[in-house]
Amino acid sequence: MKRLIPLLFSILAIAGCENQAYDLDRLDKEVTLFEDGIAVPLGNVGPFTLELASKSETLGKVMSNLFQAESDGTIVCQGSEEFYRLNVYEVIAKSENPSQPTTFKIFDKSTSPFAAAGMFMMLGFSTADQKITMELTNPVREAFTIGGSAEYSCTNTMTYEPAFKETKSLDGMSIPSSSDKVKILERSIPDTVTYAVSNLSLKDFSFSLPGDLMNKIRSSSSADFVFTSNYSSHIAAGDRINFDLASLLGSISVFFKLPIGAYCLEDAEVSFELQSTVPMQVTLSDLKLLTGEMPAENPELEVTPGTLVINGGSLEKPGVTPVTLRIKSLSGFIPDITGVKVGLKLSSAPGYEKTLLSMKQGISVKSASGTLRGGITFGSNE
Amino acid sequence: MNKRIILSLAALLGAALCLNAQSFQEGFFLRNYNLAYQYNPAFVGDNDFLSAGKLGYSIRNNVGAGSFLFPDGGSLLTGLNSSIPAETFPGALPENSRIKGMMDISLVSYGFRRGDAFHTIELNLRGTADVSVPKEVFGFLKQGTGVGTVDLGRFHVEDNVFAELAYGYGHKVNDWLSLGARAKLLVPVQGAGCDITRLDVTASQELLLIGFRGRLDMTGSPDKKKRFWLNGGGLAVDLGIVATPAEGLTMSLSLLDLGGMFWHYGKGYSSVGSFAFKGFDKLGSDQLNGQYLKDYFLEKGMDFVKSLKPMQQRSWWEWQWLPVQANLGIKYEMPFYRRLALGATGRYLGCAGLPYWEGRFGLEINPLDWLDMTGNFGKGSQGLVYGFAAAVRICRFRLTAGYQNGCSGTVPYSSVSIGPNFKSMTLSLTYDL
Repeated sequence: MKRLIPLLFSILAIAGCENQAYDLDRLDKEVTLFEDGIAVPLGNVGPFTLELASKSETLGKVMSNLFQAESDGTIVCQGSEEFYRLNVYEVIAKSENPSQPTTFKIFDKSTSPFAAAGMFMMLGFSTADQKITMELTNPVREAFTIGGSAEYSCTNTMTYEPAFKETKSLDGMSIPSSSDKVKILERSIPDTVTYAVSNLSLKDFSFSLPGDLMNKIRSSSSADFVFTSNYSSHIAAGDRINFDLASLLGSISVFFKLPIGAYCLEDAEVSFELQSTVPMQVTLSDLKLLTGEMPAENPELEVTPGTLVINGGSLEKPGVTPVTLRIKSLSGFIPDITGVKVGLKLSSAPGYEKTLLSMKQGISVKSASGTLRGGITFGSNE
Repeated sequence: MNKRIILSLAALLGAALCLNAQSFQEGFFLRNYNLAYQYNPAFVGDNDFLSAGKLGYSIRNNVGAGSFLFPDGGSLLTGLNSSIPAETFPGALPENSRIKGMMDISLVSYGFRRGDAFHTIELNLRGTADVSVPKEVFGFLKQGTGVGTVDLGRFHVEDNVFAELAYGYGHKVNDWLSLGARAKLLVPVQGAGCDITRLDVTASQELLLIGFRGRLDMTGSPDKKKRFWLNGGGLAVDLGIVATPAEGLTMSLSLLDLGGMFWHYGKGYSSVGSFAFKGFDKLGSDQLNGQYLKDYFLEKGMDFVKSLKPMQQRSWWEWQWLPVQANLGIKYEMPFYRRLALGATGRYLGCAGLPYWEGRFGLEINPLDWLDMTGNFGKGSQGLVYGFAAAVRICRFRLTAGYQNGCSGTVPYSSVSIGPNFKSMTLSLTYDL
């Protein structure tokens, strides 16, 4: 009996004992979900258009200074310039007999009216629907005729040779009395010409003025003959775009933060369709992800594909580029992504040469989906 | 769903540790235990008594902490840790992980001896709670879906509380044989059950689709104006036989809870629906920020809840059997020391979905007239088990306490078992009249 009771309680004590191996203070909270992978749809993102970009305060201001948009969004480059003024009193002063009709000649005058279209030319774009006009304001209360010619030309921005040149005679053109901005030249440049009008000149220009101009000036505040040039042009994609930023300046870096390091991903894949209505082919080459507080290339991260060619398109016929982007860690987990470094090249999109640029063009991400392999890890102690 | 339903569901889940009536088998060994008739109605008490309190509970689970936590060197890893292979977790889990609890509160008991007969009248409150989680849930979390459909259905949560008015009669037929029976009137008090029979998750690159079918039933009047409402009723009987064929030898056989009751579920809701997520729809650049995405997913979450579209169902009746118990016991008082007895017990509990059996060897010692102690050890369907109890008689009061548990060990500083387990506790106080 004396031995039985202690034995009984010993058995009970052992049987009901706590198992220290299960002490929750030792609990490793690292949890990995979906180890064999999980796919989720991500849907559609965008479109990201120039119209959207123009709503940005800084970028919008820059864009509005360079070009405008018509009601349908088509980009138009417009310029209006007063390129020569001739004061009536100067004519009177130089006239041998001011009371008599006189023919007054001026030296050749020229201007470059292409406005912001020139900037687009430098990038390889083409002009379309170019139109130039020249106007003359008459401060005299009597009609007169003019003489000479207007010459205009377009220059090949690659060879600097004239791509188009034309001269229009102005002889015998009548300018009504006290008239503002009388069109003395109006010309739509042929569509076959895709370079901007780089020069507009007056050649051998002369006024056949009436006598006694002093008493025929319209007002003292407006006593100038004013020559104004106007230019407008749409911008088309053309077939000359070949802007290889990568060769010129090397890869460009874009910094951002994608905090995925906490989830200990090993292998992530995003599939989507890039739908582009921009009539340009964009080539992203040598794609590298940047990591670290001071963003730098990470050799432990493999990104495929390294080169991505985004097909061009138009609003009527968007170009579609299927993309499967895979990020894989060669050792360990994918850390926080702090940027991307990529070579950029713009080139013409075959079949879209005549497509006009529009603020409504842009890029959308369609049917995006993500696949995670190796699971998502939370609570890692690393 | 209205507030009452949500509160009922919360109470249901919170009551998972609420428990059911379990016969106190240690009572078979205790000499000073007035309530032995609850173990076997054929036990004829020697004195009249009154009891105003007995509390008993038991919890059974077919999985323990060891099914979800895994020691690894000096660390304790969860089953979702990448170091734990899928064959171990959730591979080793049963098809359904279950916790089943039972409760027994004796509100008042009165027993009186008249000649060879022993009569008992008592009013009890009994309840059960059951939670079942399918293995596929853990498989989905561990392994994902790849490209395919995962069925996470077969969730089950249930609780039932009923009142029991019992009359027992035990009769000494002769010097060595007693027979007994108890008739019990059962009245459901409150019950609720939630079943999710279908929860399909299909995750592909094009679509995340969740298909759902479930049901929630609760007792209660479908008419809010009726303040008093009967949720059903039923009957059950206990039968027993006790034999003492030789001096000091006692044999007991009893069958308890033969019967059941009708439950009337006055409030029911069913839900069948599906929810599809195809990703963002034209997410703009100004929406690529944390707050918008958070609000977006919250909105999608609410869309999912709305897709459940609970529809009110007509009230319905359901017959539920009580979990039948079969108890077998034998004990022998040592001829050299009558205050010491050795014995064995066996038990079978026929709970749907989680039946239970066990066999134990027991020892009883009665060193003093007012003190009984017993201990037992054995094996059950959920592993090794042990138990002990004591009964103390002070003046006319008899206080009894008993405890049973499994041997799988517990998580330190808690009572959570490591493996499948059966645990119960009983506490009672009677007064000899």
